[in-house]
Amino acid sequence: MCLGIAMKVVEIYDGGMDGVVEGGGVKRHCFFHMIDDLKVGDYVIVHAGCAIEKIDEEEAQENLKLIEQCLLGEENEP
Amino acid sequence: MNLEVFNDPEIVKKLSEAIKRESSKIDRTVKIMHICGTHENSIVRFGLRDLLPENINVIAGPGCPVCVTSSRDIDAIIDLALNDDVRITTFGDMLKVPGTKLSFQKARSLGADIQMTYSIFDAIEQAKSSKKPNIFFACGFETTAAPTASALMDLDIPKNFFIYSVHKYTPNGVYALLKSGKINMDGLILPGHAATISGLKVYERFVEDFGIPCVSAGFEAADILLAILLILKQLNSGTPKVENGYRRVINYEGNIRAQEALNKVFFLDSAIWRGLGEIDETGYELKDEYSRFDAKKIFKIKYSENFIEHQRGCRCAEVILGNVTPLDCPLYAKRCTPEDPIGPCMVSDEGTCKNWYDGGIE
Ligand code: SF4
Repeated sequence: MCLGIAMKVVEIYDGGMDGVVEGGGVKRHCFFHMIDDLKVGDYVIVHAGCAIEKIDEEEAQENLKLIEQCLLGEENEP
Repeated sequence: MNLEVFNDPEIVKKLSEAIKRESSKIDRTVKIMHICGTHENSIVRFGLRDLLPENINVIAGPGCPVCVTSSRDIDAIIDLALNDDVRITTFGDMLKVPGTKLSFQKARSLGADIQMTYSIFDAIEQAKSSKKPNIFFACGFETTAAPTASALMDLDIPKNFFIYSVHKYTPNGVYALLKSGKINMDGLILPGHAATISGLKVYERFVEDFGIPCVSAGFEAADILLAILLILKQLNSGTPKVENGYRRVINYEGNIRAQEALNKVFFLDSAIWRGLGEIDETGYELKDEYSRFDAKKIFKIKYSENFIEHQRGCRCAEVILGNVTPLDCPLYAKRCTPEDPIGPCMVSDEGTCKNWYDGGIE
């Protein structure tokens, strides 16, 4: 029930309140009223018919960097 | 966007090796708790416990909203459904959860009109095509409470649509359980999607008051291992703090629009957490401005004080607190299965017993 799934925004209806998202070959209706400035092509976390947050592409890179840094720090230790 | 990398076997392997190195500096067992049923699901699915050293114990805490929904509320709404001409809509996860005598599913076989729904938006549509009062039994933590609030604020709601809120606010619940000593841990993995709404700032007092490292995590294998590694590093350096391991989704401040909607529609009242008692400021109740939707008031819900949270033998309350595992319950996988659950932890996909059962853990 609390499951959030990453999906791509493929359509935004007038006013930006809702639209269509796609993931794993499935399209579904989704509400966007908790998110500002959404564009077609953005990725969102969809939970119970509602996008709860945008997935930030740059931050995804930062996320990876964090992992790399952690591992690097480890490997450099004596 | 390539999110597959967060499951890359090479990265997963390196992270688990780093965890081993970090854990070898600690000569005691470290108890790391997560408070999200979906984290438990990932941990079982990816077999992450097998990748961890012996002294690192990752346990599931109170992270299943269905599991902490009190029988008192389930009984009350079933009673209404059996005696009044109303329709109840709720998430599929709720249907088999046992109340004192009946589950929603069993009440349905006795003639109660109880329908499954996927979201509040679907529940509103269901109400539009129904002549009866429709009551949405709204379960879930802030992740689900926020869409409920936004829907009530922004959508045209038909006159026959009502809400019975059992929504709960996680941070206050877990904080109170820690304070009372009912749960304990050396580190906390913050719930990826609930924290998307609440933000991470609200967890700073866990660090200040209890010195517990808190790290948010996503739901892929690398996400969870990263959080464990960061917690161990904090423990070893003696600098507990709140860290964001799920930066691609979580803002430190949380989703402000969602928080505004929650504050506009709900206030936090004390709520009963199944088997754990009443906890202050954890239950989302509708504010006066929204009381026309409040099924508790409109239908003058009466509560019985003779409700039973857990049947004899069921150890759900201790499972939820992370004090025992499902394997410690004599009923697990014997008398209690997802087809015929005895306790709520065997029902929802977020329940620890259900996750372990589905993962074939015996
Ligand atoms: S296995 Fe069943 S009876 Fe035992 S604790 Fe879990 S839900 Fe309760």
